[in-house]
Amino acid sequence: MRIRYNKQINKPHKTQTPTRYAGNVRFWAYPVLITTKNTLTPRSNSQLNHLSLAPCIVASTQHEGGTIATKTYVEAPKGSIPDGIKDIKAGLGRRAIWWGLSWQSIKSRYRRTYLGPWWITVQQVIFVAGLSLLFGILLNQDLKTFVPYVAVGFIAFSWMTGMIGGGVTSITGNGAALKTAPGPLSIYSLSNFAGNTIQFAHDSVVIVVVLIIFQVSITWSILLVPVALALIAINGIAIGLWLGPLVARYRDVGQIVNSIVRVLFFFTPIFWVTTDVSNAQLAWLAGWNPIAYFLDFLRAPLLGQTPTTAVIIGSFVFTAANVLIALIHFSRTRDRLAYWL
Amino acid sequence: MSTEPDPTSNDIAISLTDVWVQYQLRHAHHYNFKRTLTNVLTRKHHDAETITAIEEINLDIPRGTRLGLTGPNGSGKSTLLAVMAGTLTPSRGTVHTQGRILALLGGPNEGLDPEQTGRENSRSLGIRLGESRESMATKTDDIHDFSGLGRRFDHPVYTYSSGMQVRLRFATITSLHADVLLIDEGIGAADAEFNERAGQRLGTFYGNSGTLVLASHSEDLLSIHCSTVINLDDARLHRAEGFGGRQ
Repeated sequence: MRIRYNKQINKPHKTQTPTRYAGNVRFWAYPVLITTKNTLTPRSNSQLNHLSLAPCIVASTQHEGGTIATKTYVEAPKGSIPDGIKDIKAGLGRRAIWWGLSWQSIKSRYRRTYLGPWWITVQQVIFVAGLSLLFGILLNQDLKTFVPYVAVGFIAFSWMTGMIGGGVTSITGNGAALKTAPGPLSIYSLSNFAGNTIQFAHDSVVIVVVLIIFQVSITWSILLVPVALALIAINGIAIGLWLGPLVARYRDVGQIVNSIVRVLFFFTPIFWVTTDVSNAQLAWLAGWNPIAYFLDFLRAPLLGQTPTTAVIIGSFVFTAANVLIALIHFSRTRDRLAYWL
Repeated sequence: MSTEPDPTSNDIAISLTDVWVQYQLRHAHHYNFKRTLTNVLTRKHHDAETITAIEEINLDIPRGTRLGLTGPNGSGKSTLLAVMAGTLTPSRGTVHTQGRILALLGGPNEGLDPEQTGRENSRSLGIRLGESRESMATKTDDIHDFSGLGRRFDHPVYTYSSGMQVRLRFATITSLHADVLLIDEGIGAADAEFNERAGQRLGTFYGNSGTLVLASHSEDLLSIHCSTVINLDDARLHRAEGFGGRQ
């Protein structure tokens, strides 16, 4: 038997911040026993326990004409930065998710191919060869130094832009996972970093082979390579942390970022050299391009040179700014992401 | 009421206090460039419509309760489950939970990778829910058996029917240890044979004092599994004093 108890006392305010609220009772239970508030009040706890054993729900009015002091937010309130840091720490601890599952998703992406993720590496080889040949001849460069320059530059550039492009979709592309599995939300940016880094690890075989074939001399500056890799990795994680939520809220940002990244290929010194006098204007433009800094920081030591002080300082300053933006934006939007998907 | 039970006490699996969920409807026209431009030029301000999905929910669910949620489409069942599961932070109010909560939410293929096999998908699902690779390895045989997928367990999920996807997800989630299980019309698409076994498995789960929250339209399902059913008519559930006697 069902009884419907539908006694509307007063319509609640449907405004964003209800200050006064008159409660109304509008539910039924099944199987059901309804009592009103008045008959309920004198009951003892043991009677209530008994009632809940014999399946029932008791309805009563609340806040009858009372005042609600706390604010009702549209979507969730902004999160705090300590909570955001906790989330990132917890995310880093779930390596099985972001590292292990990224491996698996890379494998599944190339499931029905023979070469698997090495296909990208093959594409990189073909592209680097074509690019070096075209611009080596066009710009009259010495191929012995130009091919390693292009190879390192293009592969590192692909890694970085891969992380930016993946950062754009790191939240919108994981809507299903985000809505079904609770847990730290930083794992989506970490997965993006892991996926691109696994691909970069495959591609870096090309760098090693090219450096050996073209007999690039190794100097002490090679010790800077791990620093450069770490900086790029930190920036890759950070950019996903703020760009993913930003795109989830403002989808246009993704389109803007993607079109900028595409044209950055030409304005980053990959197939042209900043020290060339004829490139002075381009070099000045590259001074405003953060990717160019990290690229130089990684490429110079690999080619036996030392990066300039400007490059080193610029990379560290940009990293600090990027991490700060990531911490603030990720922490503030974390609780709202599920609303934006 | 003389004693006010502590919402953080051990006997309460899930405690919701004054929970609201409101969101903004960002419909296509809010993104219309022409409209935005005219609004800016004419200094007209059009706010996006605010939707209240659930409103002032007060609910204590004691451990071992078998709670059913029902109500018309759009009454907030899924939203309420998402709040309980921790995937949705409420706009207002507090949520206290005890123990491990596992949720079977969304459509049949939610969270499955179509290119991966059933075996790989169940492993990924478990890892995403916090299991280790090793513990998933020990559970795979059980999942395989219970899902009844047989050889198809090693086929890619894009070859699965929606009923088979339900089997895979249900088998995976219920093979993990949970204190609270949240199910959103999850077992609808599977066939009668599987539903019977699924029902038995749920029976064992709440027989061991597990807490179950099941959202469904099926009165049969609710009457079999639930000791109490709440109708979220018009998204308004007031303090249910049968639960823990809060007032």
